[in-house]
Amino acid sequence: MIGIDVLFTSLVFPGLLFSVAMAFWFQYLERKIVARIQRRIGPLYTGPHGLFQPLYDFLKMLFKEEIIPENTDKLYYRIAPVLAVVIPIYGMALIPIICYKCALNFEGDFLFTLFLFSLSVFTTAIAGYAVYSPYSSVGVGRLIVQYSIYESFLALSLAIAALQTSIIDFSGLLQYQTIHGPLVFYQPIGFVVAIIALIAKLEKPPFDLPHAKQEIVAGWMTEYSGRGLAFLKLSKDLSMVWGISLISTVYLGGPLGPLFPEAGPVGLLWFAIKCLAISLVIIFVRAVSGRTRVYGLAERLWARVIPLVVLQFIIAVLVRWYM
Amino acid sequence: MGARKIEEYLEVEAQDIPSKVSEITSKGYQHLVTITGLDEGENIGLIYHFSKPSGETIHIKTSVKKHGSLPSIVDVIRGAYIYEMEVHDMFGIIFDNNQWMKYKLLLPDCYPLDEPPPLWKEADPDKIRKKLYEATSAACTLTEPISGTSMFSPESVVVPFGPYHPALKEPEHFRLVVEGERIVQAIPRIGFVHRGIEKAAERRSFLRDIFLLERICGICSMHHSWTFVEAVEKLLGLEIDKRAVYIRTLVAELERIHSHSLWLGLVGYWMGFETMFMWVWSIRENIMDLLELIAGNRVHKSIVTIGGVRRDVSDEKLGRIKEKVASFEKRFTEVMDDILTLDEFIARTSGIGKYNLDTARKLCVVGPPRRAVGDGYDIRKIEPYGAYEEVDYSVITDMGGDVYSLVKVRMLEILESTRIIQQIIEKMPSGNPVPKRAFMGTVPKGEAYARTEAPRGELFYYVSADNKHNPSRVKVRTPTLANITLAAEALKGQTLSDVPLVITMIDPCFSCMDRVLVIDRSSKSSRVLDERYFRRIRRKGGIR
Amino acid sequence: MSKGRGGLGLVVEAIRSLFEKPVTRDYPASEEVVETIRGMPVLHSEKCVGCGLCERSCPSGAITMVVVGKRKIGNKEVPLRNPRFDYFRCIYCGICSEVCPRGAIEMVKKFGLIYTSKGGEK
Repeated sequence: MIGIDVLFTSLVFPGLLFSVAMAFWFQYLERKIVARIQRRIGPLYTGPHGLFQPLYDFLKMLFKEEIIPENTDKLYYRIAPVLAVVIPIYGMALIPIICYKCALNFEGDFLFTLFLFSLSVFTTAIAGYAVYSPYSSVGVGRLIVQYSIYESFLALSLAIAALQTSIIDFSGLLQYQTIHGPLVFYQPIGFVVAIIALIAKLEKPPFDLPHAKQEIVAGWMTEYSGRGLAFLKLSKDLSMVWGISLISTVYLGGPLGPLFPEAGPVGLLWFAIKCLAISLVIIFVRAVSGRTRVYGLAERLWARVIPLVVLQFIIAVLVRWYM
Repeated sequence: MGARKIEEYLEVEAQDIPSKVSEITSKGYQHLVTITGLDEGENIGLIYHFSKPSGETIHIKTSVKKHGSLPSIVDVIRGAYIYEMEVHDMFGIIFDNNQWMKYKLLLPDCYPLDEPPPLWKEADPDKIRKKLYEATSAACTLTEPISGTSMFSPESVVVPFGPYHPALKEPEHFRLVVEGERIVQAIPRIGFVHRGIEKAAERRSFLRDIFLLERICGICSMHHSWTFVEAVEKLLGLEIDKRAVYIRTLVAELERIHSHSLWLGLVGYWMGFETMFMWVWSIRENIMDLLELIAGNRVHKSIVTIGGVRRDVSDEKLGRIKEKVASFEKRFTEVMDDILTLDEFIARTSGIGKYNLDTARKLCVVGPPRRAVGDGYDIRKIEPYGAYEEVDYSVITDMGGDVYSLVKVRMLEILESTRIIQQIIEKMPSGNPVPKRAFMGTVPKGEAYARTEAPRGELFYYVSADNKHNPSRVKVRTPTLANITLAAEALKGQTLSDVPLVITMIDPCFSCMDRVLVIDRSSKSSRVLDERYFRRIRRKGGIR
Repeated sequence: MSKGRGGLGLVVEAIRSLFEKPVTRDYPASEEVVETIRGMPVLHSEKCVGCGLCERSCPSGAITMVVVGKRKIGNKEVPLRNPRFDYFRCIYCGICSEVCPRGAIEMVKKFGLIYTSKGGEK
């Protein structure tokens, strides 16, 4: 019999409902801030100051007609959006937000999260390949190229965090940071590199090649409409929530702060503040960047970032040695 | 002065055209402006307009029997192929030795074969429209195979670009033959927005034509109406009040600023840099406010009329314009300076779409693309019109020949235009620029042409009148038609991701025919959405 | 052209734009009428003599003359025509108002031509 706490964690908090609400909130924040930077108004009419706009967009798209091109693999076409949504939600359910060890945590869940990260990319690749269209194929091709580039240092920087703490589950990470302070003090480079990798994963400018609006229509999302598109867009926002939560848990200590863990829900407040800070950085970078060309991508990312990661690795080993 | 009555022609037999044209080009008339076709009853008259870099023009006339043919001049002037394709589509004349004859440029493939070509006098637009409605072939435009050319290897892939694409403001179609990531050849196909304006202009009076012709393009709309009115005024022999001339020049320069800043914003958009797009456009709003202040409308300004302008601009308004233009200049230079020194921007635009002066000359390219390779071809200096002889400005050229130098050229032209505007406002003479009555009369028999430097390049109008209320022929040659050959040429050797940028570096503004074809698979029928359809759904309150 | 600050300038500009008022305005909350717009043609039928110049000069053919009564010319009674405007074809150019010899057409500046989906006029 599944325990009530498992159900609660996976479906309400921080699982389905909470993640989706956070996804809408981040989407709203991004749209509003980017609009203000571009001297526009942004969402305004739905809800107070346009707060419900992402929700309305999602609901509206659920009711739109779905046009499926002829030569599509119908099974993958239907499954891919669902998978793309489920994986980040499950990832979110694993992240400790108001406790050291919540209902679904287990030994080694940090490692498991890395695996989930890679898996989520493949769901989008399946979404693109299910359709027989030149735009989708080119989009998926670029997606995989970008993935192969950023995956290495995303996994590396997270692995270096695990290396220093010699712990591979979230509750252990939180305990380590309670004793030694947030990991970002020891690994600032890793923190920055992880954020860059996250921007690449989320396909935000300057790394939005896979769904380049001006060049290949919508990339791998081109032939989706109606419910499929609603889910794919939601999965993008969910990935953003998940990625930011992960980084703030690993580097900034998640719910750690004064009054925690005595008053449990206070952890949510600290967690929210840290996530907000990271999201503001990502949104700002997105607003002031143009897109990198295909040919410059590898050079920009690999040539400049990998040496930093190596440096971070050395520092982490030294810190662990002497602590 | 920018426009002239055509008093004499060089009359030539149809078969002698290529040799005569070589003779003319060797005398210095290297720039072919366009080829005009006229329906003269039994025959089709063809006028070839040539121009020298110093401004003189010469016109060669010939005639061919209907459904006839004559030798092509493509071997002499490569850029002539697009004008010959246009005449072939509109008048049915065949040009021998032109390999593009088997492709249609403007007309759809399902054009009814038993109807005369569109610009013949006996072609009835309503009849043709009815037949096109009933054309059930769904392959109206895009299924022509590329066969018979040996340059395409078996590995080439044809990537269709357009007509529906978020990158393009207006529908156009390029068939890109691609090998790997590189483009080997690009074949343009336009005509998706063709509205049959030249034919419509023959059925309306001169005054109504001004409004029709200014709607050819929303961005350079005043230049269209001004060029037309210049030609008509030459036919009528009218003298225009000085103040009216200055006001026309003022609005024209404001239009140039707004057009170039629109394009600069779009460059940012196509690079994926949306913020730059929004910022440049927000600065451009100041200019749009000025245009609304002067003319009452932001886009179709309707300020030019035969004999002058329709409204006067008060001195107090002129003062406000001066201030606003000065603050626009300051803001604009700030933002563009920051962007032009961005590494990303330079990497994305340098070396893209490179072409050289020789290509530009052979293809008869006009406007900023011509000036970006060092050739100072600007109608404002070559054949001055308006108030341009009385203000001090320089023609901007650059040597680069790629997207980056086009950005530089257009940006500096904006700054020059602000200088021109300041001088115009200072030197504005007093007078009465508004003619007492709107012109509703007839125009005596004659032919005239007019050229202006629209923001995109040289705009050419040929007007022929016959003592009637309506013109008997209006021919428009927009700068984009001349430059599209350059886009097709510059695309060779580029990669797919640079395609939008290269096509838009010529600043395309397509003006052609518009029709929407709805193909309903379930009932296996096709219908065309026309004005009646939209009125019906408007009454029902929405689209079913 | 040479004194640009590159990426740093962009960041500064972005922060500045974040706190300034946006350039776009929301409609219809802040609706302004610019005095220079050409406006919408409205007929003053008491001044109209039915000459039909407006119909002939309208660029888009939005005006048709319709019979609204009778008038006397000399001793005969002839039908009196007035122009009827089709506001969907009208391009709001103002030529009809300019050519009217009696000044019977006035270009009204403030008007609302927004329709909601239920067919009501705003």
